[in-house]
Amino acid sequence: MTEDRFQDLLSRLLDDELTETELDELARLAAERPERVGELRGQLQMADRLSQYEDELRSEARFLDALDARLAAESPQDDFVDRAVRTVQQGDASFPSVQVTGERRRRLANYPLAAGLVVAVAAFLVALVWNPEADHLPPSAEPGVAVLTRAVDVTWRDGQTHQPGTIICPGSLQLESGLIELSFGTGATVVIEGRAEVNIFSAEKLSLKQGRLWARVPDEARGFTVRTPEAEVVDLGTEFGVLVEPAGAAEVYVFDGFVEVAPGKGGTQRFAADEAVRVEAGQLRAIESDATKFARGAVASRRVELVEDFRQESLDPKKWRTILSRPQSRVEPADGAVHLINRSHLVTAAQFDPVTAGRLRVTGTFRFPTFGPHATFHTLEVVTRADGRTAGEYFKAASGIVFQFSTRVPIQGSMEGAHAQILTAGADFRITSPTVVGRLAFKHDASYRFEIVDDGLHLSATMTEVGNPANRVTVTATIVKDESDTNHVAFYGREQREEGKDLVVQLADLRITLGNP
Amino acid sequence: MTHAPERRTSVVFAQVICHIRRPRDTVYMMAVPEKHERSAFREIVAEHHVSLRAFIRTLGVDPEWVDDLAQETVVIAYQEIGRLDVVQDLGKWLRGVARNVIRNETRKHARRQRILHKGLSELLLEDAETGPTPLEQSRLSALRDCVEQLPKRSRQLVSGRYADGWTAADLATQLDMTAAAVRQTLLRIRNRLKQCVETRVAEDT
Repeated sequence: MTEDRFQDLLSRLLDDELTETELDELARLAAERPERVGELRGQLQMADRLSQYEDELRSEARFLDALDARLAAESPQDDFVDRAVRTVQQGDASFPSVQVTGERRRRLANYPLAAGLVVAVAAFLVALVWNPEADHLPPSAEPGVAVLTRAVDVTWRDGQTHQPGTIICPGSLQLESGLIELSFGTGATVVIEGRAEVNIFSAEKLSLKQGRLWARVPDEARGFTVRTPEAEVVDLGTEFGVLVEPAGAAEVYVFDGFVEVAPGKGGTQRFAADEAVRVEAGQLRAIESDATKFARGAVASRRVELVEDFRQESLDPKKWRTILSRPQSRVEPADGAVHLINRSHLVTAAQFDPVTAGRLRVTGTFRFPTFGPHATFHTLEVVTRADGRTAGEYFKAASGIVFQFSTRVPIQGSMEGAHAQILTAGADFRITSPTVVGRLAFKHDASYRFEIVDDGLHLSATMTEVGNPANRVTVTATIVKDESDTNHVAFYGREQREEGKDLVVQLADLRITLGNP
Repeated sequence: MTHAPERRTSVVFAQVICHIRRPRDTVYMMAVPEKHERSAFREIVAEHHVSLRAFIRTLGVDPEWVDDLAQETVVIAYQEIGRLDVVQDLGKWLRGVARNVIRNETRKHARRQRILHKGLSELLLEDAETGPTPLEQSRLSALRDCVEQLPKRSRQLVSGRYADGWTAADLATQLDMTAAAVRQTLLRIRNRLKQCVETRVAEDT
């Protein structure tokens, strides 16, 4: 009799839930016989191994990355290069180059310099000495300054070859054609498009003798400098592009923040977002935005693409499609919100392609109104690049990049409190292991604001408690493989409650924007 | 052999790099640059984390907190390793650190505990010290082979339970079974997998 009771408690410990009193009882029954403790340990061990094997959130890569972040926090020295190399090299052997196909490949090649360009010029002068003769390279025995994180259709000149994952040392890089991305230890990301000739002096400074270069420089890396034959471009925490013609004339486009441009003769001028300047024969000249220089077509300012307040009695079929995976699934507009009930999907009728059109941003608020003792596991998934289909016995999104917000902490350890996660669905995508910034204390009765950014390459998901902006978490990842050509945005309530009761994810204030800010 | 104190950790990790290339858990001396320490450590952890995480679960830790406590264990190990002269068996040593971490957990205020039940963890900790050594197989490959050979229905239960995180009650509704039957089946599946893995490991060695 007690044996049966022990077995019953054991199996519920493993696969259901036990109350505190039942746990007391289990501990007491187990203590009676050593073989019961042995069985308990054996079952727990296999349960955990199975969970490690099956649960993608507990994969080796994720565990080790989380551990790495924790170790890094414990020992402050900078091992950026090691970390970045690992990020790039993880995954299977097919990783080493970015995998893109067909149409996507061409568009991807045009992506980096394709940010919004509107020109006006503001100017003020600061004297600064510029001496192009001072160009000389430090010895290559210096430690690495950056990691080559992507290479698309690259032909190297002078027999050079660098695979993604290679540490870049100070020295020269020459591209006949194609596109590379470098991630510097300082945090700066630089994309260079061939034909290009670059000399890297340090993590803060490089020269571009010819070619096109786009840089995104975080505040910590302010002062990042690009020398061209005609001018020196000093970043002040921003995003900008530089184009150097074979004869040496340069054009500088500021997409965000400020840069200073110091021509060889004359003073430094400062330029703000949406300004551009041409430097030729030592003279600065404001130039018009000419988006056609960049293959993607200009998106001068943020374009609002879809705003939905759910005030209509029914969903607008021009905007939305729904997928009801089960008889009990429903999507119901509900007075300024929409309820995704029992595994239903809300999918945009339109497509939003961040690769061709620039940054895709999806924002909104959500809450889990049916959260309770018997339905603790609620999950909202927002999917970009979705194909609008479902797959598998749980009717998840079939293909796309999945930004997940859940009552359940998906990854523990340094990911503790994350509640947000970035995953992929289908075989068309692969991303780096997500990194978590911040920590969210989950409150079941709170509303949360989410913000998702997919700029074609970099992904981020932020979850913030409404009314308490300090309670937030951000997860980021980078795309390393993209073979998809569908671009719907989908919202999916992932769970279903048993016994005829509904499990509801409530969404409101949806806004989808496409195009660079 | 003596080293300046600040170099100590470095030297031990130099040994550790060597360790991972040796068939047994014996540590050898080898000089490597300090900056590779952490990535070397990561490689060691890659060898041991599967057993370590499962071991931590067997101490009665809340499944949601297993990885967190495993990471805590490794961070402590990383800090402590410099104090050791020679590490004979890293898996055993990590389990020792883990036991201390969990024991500490049982002493915390109940609301902050990451274990399921104080009495249960105390019992399991005691057994972990005196009882038989757990399955030490470091990778999941044997388990993978065994899981992928399960009959369809069992395979479905395993992925529903572990990949999707459904409870037995959830699975019962979906698969038109009773919750008790789901739980019984899962108990049997785990026993069967344990035997299967043990057989495979024995065959390999």
